[in-house]
Amino acid sequence: MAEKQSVSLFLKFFLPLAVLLLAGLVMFGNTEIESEITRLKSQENLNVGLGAGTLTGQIESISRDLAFLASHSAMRQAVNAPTPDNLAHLATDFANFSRSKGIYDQLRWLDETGMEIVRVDYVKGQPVVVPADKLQNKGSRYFFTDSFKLQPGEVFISPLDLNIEQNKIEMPYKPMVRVATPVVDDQGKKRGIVILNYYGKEMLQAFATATTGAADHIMVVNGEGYWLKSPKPDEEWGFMFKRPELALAARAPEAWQRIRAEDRGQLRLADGLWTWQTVYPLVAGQKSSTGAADAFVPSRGEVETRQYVWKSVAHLSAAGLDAVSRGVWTRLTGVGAILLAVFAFGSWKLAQAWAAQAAAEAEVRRVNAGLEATVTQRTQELNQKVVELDETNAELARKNEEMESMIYTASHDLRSPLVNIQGFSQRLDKAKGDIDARLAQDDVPDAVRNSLAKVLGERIPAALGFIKSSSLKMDALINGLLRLSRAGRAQLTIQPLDMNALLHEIVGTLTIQIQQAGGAVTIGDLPPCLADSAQINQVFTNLIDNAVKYRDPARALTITVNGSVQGGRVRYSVADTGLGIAEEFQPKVWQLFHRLDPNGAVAGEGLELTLVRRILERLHGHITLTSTAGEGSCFTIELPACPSSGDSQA
Amino acid sequence: MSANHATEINVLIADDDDGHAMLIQEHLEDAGIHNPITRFRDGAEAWAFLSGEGLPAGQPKCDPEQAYMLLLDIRMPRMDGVEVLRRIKAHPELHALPVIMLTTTDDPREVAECYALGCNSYVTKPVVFEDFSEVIKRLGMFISVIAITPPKVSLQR
Repeated sequence: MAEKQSVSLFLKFFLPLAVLLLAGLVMFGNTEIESEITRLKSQENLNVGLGAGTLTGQIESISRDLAFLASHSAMRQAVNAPTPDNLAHLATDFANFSRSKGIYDQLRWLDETGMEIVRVDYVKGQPVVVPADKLQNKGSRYFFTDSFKLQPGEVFISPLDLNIEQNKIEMPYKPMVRVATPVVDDQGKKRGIVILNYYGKEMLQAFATATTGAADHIMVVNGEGYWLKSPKPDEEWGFMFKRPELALAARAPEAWQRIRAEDRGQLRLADGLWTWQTVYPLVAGQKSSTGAADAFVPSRGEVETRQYVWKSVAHLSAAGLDAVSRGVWTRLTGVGAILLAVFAFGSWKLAQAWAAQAAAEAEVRRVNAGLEATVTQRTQELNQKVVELDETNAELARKNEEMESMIYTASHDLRSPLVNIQGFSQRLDKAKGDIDARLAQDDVPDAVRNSLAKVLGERIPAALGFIKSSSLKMDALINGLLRLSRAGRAQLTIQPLDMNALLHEIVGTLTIQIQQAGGAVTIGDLPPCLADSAQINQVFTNLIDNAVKYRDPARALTITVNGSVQGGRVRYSVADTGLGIAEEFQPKVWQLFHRLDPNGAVAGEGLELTLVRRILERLHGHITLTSTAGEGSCFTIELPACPSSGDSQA
Repeated sequence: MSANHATEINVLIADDDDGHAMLIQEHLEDAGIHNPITRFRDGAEAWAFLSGEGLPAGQPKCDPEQAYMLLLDIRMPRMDGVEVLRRIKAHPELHALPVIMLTTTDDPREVAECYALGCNSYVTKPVVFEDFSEVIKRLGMFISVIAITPPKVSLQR
């Protein structure tokens, strides 16, 4: 039963806890995922920004380099007078410049036909001046035509594409940006272009380095959505191979639409999270063209500064985002499982404890109920007993009264004959006196006188003596009975008694007897009791009188009276140094008319102690005797204490 | 009022015990009291003599011209001494009659009751014969004293 209760309690504790815990975990998980996503988003923004930063500014510094080259003195001399010396001078300048910069694949001057006049290549960290016989005509390439059209001071910047060498895409791919500007002679006539081939791989490498953390999903696309840099290298440079499918526009048209339209942004789509930032490599005055995949196809047109864009794009796939959620849920599942286990364990222990307590309480209630029933039954029985006891008491009191009344009547009726016995004995004695007087006269013969002498002189006086003493004794007994009867019927006035005053009064009354006995009485400080003054006076008078009567002639008599209060009862002791009472006689002292030594010198009816006990019974008291023959006796009296008196020793 | 009258006080004894009655009589004589003595065996007899109620024909009745005193025992058959005392003290003519309770009973309550009813004295019959004589002697002295008072007054007032 307790087990069943435990299970039900366990469910009561555990189920709400579990629901709460799960709800809490779900909320926490969602928040966690949200913040994780937020973190990811800002991380994506950061990566994209970092990447964009590596791309921005590169082209501008290149343009400055170009402006310098187009106008520096060696260039101007060569343009105005293309002598072999001047050309050689220009080549040396170019070579020095190339070495010092280290980022330009080619530095060239093309004349107005597109023919390369001076060209310095950068090969394995060293500038190489290309000999005249290796120079090519680039008059048909878009970068020449597009550049040569420009006004002096305007700069052409080619799209970032792959270098084409000898009409073929150079392998391995050589991403390249060509930056060109027209050169003019002193007469203001355009004399071709100066062109720098910026080796774009450096820039893309810098991009990759800056975005290492997102290497698996960060990319660079150009304004048409073709990949310049991609985690999957085979997707790159799609426009060089005329593969429009290798472009964001084709792969993710929905995302691309937004990416193309907005400078920067972040977009959550079904295929994942897109983050992008646009890089504008050109400053005002710089021109570019859309470029051309083929070596000799004119570009499709100029593009304005704002349209020459690269985009740093990060694409966190849906699977990647799911992984974030999964990670959170996995972590929380572990924690949740542990917490659930803890809750379950705690709930189970609590349930067991509660069930045990409930069982204990039920047991206590059951036992209590049983106890109550028992108590009720016992109380009823007790009440019944009290009623019976009251009846018995009343019956006893009635019998007692009856007996006392009987004793009273009987003692009276017994007394009447005694009066006669005594009285007529006296008359007989008087009559004998008359006879004696008659016999004493002279006319009585001596023989008669002598014959009567024994009768009249001995027998009759002896007989009269016995009659007298016996009737006296009987009178004493009857008187005793009367006193006893009277003690049992006396009206009681129960009140607090000053026992010190009472005892001193008694001792005062008995002073003569005590002095004659050569005794001494010591009275301690006696606590008061609740009793009837006259009756208690009788009790202590009897006891002290008894002590005086039964003193040991061989020893000095000392009577000591003491008292103490204990638990609502007062105890007085009356101790003497008298004859004492042998143990076998002790129970008999309370008997009516019992005398210690009936033939002894002590007078009395043997009634005092019976009377004392009877009186104390009526006063709800009690008397006991301890005694040793030859040492003395001690009577201990117990009576109700006054309500106010505390326990004390005296 | 002559001296003759004074010595002629009639002593009435109501006691059911013949011995007691005789002892009282003898002790009184020993004490020199020689007044006429009438003895009744119980309270009813005494009351009949005093009041005339239920008096058998031919029996003497108390004479209003005479002086009386009553020695009254308490425990008696037919009518006890207390009842006789009560009737005497309630009687318009008899209430002045001197009544001395002479009884074996010494119960304080009984003594108090008798005095409350108006007895002149309460004497306990002692068992010791010397004491008894003493008591009766004193009674004799008492009788001598009341003998001086006019007898009619004692009866009719």
